[in-house]
Amino acid sequence: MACPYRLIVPSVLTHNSFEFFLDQLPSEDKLEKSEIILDLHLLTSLSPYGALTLLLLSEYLKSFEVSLKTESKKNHTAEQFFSVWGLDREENSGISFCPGKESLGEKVFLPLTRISSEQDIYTVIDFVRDRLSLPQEQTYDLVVAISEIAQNILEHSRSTGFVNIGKGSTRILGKEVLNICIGDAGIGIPSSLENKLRDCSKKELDRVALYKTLFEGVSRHDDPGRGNGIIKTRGIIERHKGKMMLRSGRAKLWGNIASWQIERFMRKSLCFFPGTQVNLSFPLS
Amino acid sequence: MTYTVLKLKDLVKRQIKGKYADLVTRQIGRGIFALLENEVRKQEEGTVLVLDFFDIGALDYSCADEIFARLILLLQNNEYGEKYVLFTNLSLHHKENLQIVLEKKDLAALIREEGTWEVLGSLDNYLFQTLKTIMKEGKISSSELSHRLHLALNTASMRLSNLSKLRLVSKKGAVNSLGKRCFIYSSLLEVKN
Repeated sequence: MACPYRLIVPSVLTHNSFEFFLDQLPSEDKLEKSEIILDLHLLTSLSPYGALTLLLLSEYLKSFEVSLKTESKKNHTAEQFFSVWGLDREENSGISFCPGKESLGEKVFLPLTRISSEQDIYTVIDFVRDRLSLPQEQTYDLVVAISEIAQNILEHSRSTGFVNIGKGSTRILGKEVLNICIGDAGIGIPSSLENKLRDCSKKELDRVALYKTLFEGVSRHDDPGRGNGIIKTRGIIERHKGKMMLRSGRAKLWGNIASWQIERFMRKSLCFFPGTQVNLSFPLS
Repeated sequence: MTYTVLKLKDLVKRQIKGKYADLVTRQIGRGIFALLENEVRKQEEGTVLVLDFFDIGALDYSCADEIFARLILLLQNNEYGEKYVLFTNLSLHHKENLQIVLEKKDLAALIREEGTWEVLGSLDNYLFQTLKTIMKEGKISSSELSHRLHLALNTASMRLSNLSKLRLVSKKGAVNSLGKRCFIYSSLLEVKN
């Protein structure tokens, strides 16, 4: 039997370190029925994006019948982070979604919540509205941002997805921020827009698809009423001086940049990861 | 002209279990549109349906597109006969998001507020100036508009006809003082509710 692949989870798993972590993943042709060990012993901090992507990775690997095992070497911090985000793991078994397992930690606003219907989106929105006392217009903008991104899972991904929200503060000004992560392991934006971007080379497809979605409001539908969601959410986040990051396939793009900065801020030729993941930083003051 | 007030909150509550009456997601929008369309069909010809946003929370673009852009488009395409829609009690948030959705589809809607009105969406300036005259006068014929704005009669007539097609004013056949048949175009705000 082939030697198992070992993926070492970095000490702090965020949307930046996730890319280095993912680089350890064997290519798709080697994944089928392989054995992967997720080594958690270094983990000291799990961001909402980190929790979401670990769960999506586990779902993705199931489609290759990968035998996924986790090892934490009695790292209690890792155990606690898994618990507060609504993840479950057993030594020598994969990661599973376990809603409502533990009370919320200090940095957890909303643990991982499955999005498989419109009612799920309403449940998330009601939860957010109940626990925040923001000015009305700010609350509505936050609700619209969550709703517009989350419904893309139902409309386009051909899969279900998850939302989770963390509480944090900005590094310099110490302002309170909500870190909202919404993602799925479905078909992803490049596949969804493939028919619209026939002239685009395969190499460039992911990059162009993300740019067209975030900056031009392109949708797979021809109706001019479509494609507003992501581009307008970008506007909302910009208005509140927050940040927006979109990852799909092999590309990643930030929303709060001018179009002339695209080349600098676009990450392309990344390791493939299925579906679409969105990270929104929404300042609360 | 008869007026029917429809509280959007009641439609939301029939469609979704939630604490707040937020108008979000395309799928929920489709459900609410079906309920709304049923109400529109029930109304008599010449009715103005007043869509009341009182107590409505957030409005997202997808839901606004499914409900309001679709309704206005079908009204303009004469799917429901001579019926009209007015919006009332909108917050700044509702107006901003509705504006984006209507503008993208080149549609316009009339908003009624206490003692005033405004148009959301996309409307050519010359039509807006004509609409302002009608709102001020309450009712007007082509010849009266032609006289008031110093326009050629066919230009005045065309402007009124366009506003009527956009369902921003109502149109009724009448006989003028010379015994000739003409059309009278009326403001949708004519009767206070």
